[in-house]
Order: sequence, then structure tokens, then C-alpha cells
Amino acid sequence: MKDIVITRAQIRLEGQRFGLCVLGAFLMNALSIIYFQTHWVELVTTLPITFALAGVLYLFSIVFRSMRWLFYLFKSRSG
Amino acid sequence: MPSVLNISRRAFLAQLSVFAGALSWIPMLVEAADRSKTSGKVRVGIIGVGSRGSKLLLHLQTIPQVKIVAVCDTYQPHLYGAKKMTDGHARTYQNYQDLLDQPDVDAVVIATPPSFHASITCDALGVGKHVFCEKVMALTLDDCKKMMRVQKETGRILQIGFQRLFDVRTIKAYEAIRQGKVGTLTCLKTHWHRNDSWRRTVKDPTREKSVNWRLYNDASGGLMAELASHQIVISNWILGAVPESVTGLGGINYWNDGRETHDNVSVIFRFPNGVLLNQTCILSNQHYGVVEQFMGSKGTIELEAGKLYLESQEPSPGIYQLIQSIEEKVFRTIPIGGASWVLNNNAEPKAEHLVEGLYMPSPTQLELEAFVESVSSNKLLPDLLDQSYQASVAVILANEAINRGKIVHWPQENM
Repeated sequence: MKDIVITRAQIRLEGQRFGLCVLGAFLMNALSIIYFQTHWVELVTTLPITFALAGVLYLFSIVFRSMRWLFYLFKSRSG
Repeated sequence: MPSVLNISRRAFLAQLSVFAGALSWIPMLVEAADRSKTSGKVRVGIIGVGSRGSKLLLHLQTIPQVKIVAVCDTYQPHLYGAKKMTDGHARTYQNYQDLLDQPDVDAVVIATPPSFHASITCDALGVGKHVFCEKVMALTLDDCKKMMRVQKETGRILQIGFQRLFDVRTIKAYEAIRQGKVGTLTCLKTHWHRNDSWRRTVKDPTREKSVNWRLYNDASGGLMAELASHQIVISNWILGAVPESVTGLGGINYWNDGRETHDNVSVIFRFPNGVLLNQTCILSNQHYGVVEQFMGSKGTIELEAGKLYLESQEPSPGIYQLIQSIEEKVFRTIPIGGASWVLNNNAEPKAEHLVEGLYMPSPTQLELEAFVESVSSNKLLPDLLDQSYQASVAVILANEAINRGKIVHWPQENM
């Protein structure tokens, strides 16, 4: 059976993607504070929720990338 | 059981950051611990040692200054049980006059049915005894007035057993209301719901009325006297007023077992400024149990739970609200099911705990220790007797309103 090799570059890329998700969740938090007119201290007090939201965004990105990979795989075989 | 006063009175009082003078009977407890080490014994006789009387006896025995010297009851097994509780030290009497004749009795505790309260109390005060009498004072206005008059004439101590005035929750609620936390009090709602008949098994039919006295109008004030009176005394005290009028209804709709007193009552007291106190007591359902709600323009106090709910709640964090609105939009598009797992949001009322972490001594223990202190110092606990009198009168008026089906007004005072 062929080993699956995950390169350092791939790990770094996934880390960057997760970082983007954290940033996105943080921005969502900031926007919701502005929109719902609550307190800025929530940027700190709701950090656990922010990270949980980042995890959800990252999961969505995996699903999206898997679907895109399957789409190209199907297209290359049929083409 | 060690005395509450000796163990933790100071801690108890320290936690009650009350306004000076507002709880005029509480500060007297401060002096009692020191006195307990120096003063002589208060020799107590107990008249009526059934279920409540024997409970009071147990509480009294934990107070170092108290010596139970005599007990009285018309029922021999009660007498035997009470004597046994005092390790055989207490003398027994079947006639309360014989107990009152004893020169070594300084004070008496009366735990008989309410119909006997006035006569025994007046007789005891008349021969120079101090009196702790269980609530309610009496079943008629004249008897209540007579008790107050005899107390004034003799100068002896008279205290009525409204122990909820010594409950930490009540005191903290009073404090919160005086601090304006609930705004202007506009409505009070209390209920006391039970699911039991109140009937006790009677082996000897001739003892039916003396055992099941709560079920008969000539011995008992029914639900208003036995249950609602505890909530009336608190309401009067917290509002700092007596009701202007009362109306109500009652009846027997479940326990049709030959009783005379009602198994359900619902009354409304009207206080000055139009504040209403709405009360119900029932004996056929206990789901809502005991509840006292004090509602004001800024908040609500639920006394039994020791909680304060503010009208204007702090909103949930923005991110919660964002997730909530996304969830609602997503689930609205799904034709089946509902968003039952949605995060709690600001619709969930948040409560401030009035008594969390506080030491909560037994109110009955405290009221008895206050009585003993009162006897030792020969000082009547300020305001307490007036509060008890007013609550007892309110009970009598409520029963009158229920029985006559009319609005009954607070009487002109002329004791």
C-alpha cells in the first residue's frame, strides 16, 4: 500500500487556511458587535465561540474543496 | 444541636447589611450571645405539645439560656412524648391554669389551636408570664385587640410566631426593595399550594375535633390563617402598610370529607396607592408550591427562590445573536421540525441571587432566640408585635370577605 505523504508545505498551507478561518470568525464577531450594538469587550470574552466558529468555517472549507476535487476528478475521467 | 446565636449570630448579622432601624428586631439578636454567657436561665413552660409544640420544644432546648420546666397538653401521649424529650425533667400538666400557677415558670410558649390563643395568652400575661404564641394571634378582631391591650397593661413580652420575618430571604428582599432595585412596587402575588388533605388519622372518634382542628371553623382560621398569614405578614412589612380592603372567594372543591374549612381560597388585598396582593391557597395540587412574587417597575423578586429578575436584561453577546439569527433563517426554510437546540439568547431571564452563599439559619430558631433575648432583657422586640397584629387582622378580614362574599375594609383602630 502506498504511503500518504503530507509535505511541510501542505501542513503550512492548511495552517494558513485555518488562520484565515479564525480571522474570518473574528471579523464576524466584530461585525456582529457593530450590528447588534453590543460591547467591544466581547472580542475577548467570546473567544471560545470565535474559535468554535473558525472550526465550523474550516469544516465548510474542507467540504467545499472535497466537492471541487470530486468535480475535477469526474470531469477529467469523462473528458 | 448548638445554638445559632452562639455559633453564627455575628456572621448571620454581618451578612444582613440592612438599613439602620429598618429591621428593628434584628439588632437585638446581637446582644443575646454575650448575655447567654452571663445571664440566668429563662424557665419556660410549653402549652400544647403536639406536632408544632414539640418542634418548638426541640428548638428551645438548643438555646443555652432556656430551661424547659413544664409542659401542658390535654392529650396524655403528647405529654408523655414531651416529658421524654426533656429527659423527664419537665413537669406535666393537663390544665394550663395549673402550669400558669407555677412560680418557677418565667415564660410560656403557646402552640395550641388558634381558638385558644387569646384566652391562654391573656391569662398568662395576667399572672406575669412572658408569652410566645404561635400564629395567628386569634380568630376574632376583639380577641386580637384584647391580647394587645393586656400586653400593654401588663408590660410583659408578647411575641407571635411569624418566623418568616426572621428568614434571610425575606430580609434580603426587603433590603433590595428599599434600595430601589425593583423600582416602584405595583403588584404582589403569592400562592401556597399543597396536595394533601390536612386530615390526620383519628383512632378515638371523640378526639376528631382536637386532632383535626384545622378542618373546623370554630378552632381554625383555615387556609388563610394556617398558610396565607405567613405571606401576608411579609407583604405588609415589605410594603410598610396595611391593606385598605380585601375581597375573595373560597370553597371545598376536592376534599369533600365533612370538613368545614375551605380547601381552596383566592383573595385580593388592596394596599395604599392601589398596590394589589393576589393570593391563592389550595390543597389539591402542589405543582407551583410556595411562591411569593414582588413585582415592581424595574424588577421582580421571587422570594422562595431568593432571586431578583430585572426588567431590562443585558443583551446577549453580538456573536450569539448573529448565530441565533442565522439558525432561525436556516430552520425557517426547513418545512419540518423546529430549532429546538438553538442557543439560549437574551430572552432567557437572568436572575440575581439574593441569598447565594449566605448562611441561612432556621427562622424558627431565630425567632425563639429573639424571644428569649426579649425576655432576658425585658424589652419588647420593636415593631414585631404590631406586624403580627396587623397580619392576624388581615387574615380575619380575608375570611370575613370570603364568607360574606363582599369587599371588607380595614377597621377603624380603637383598641
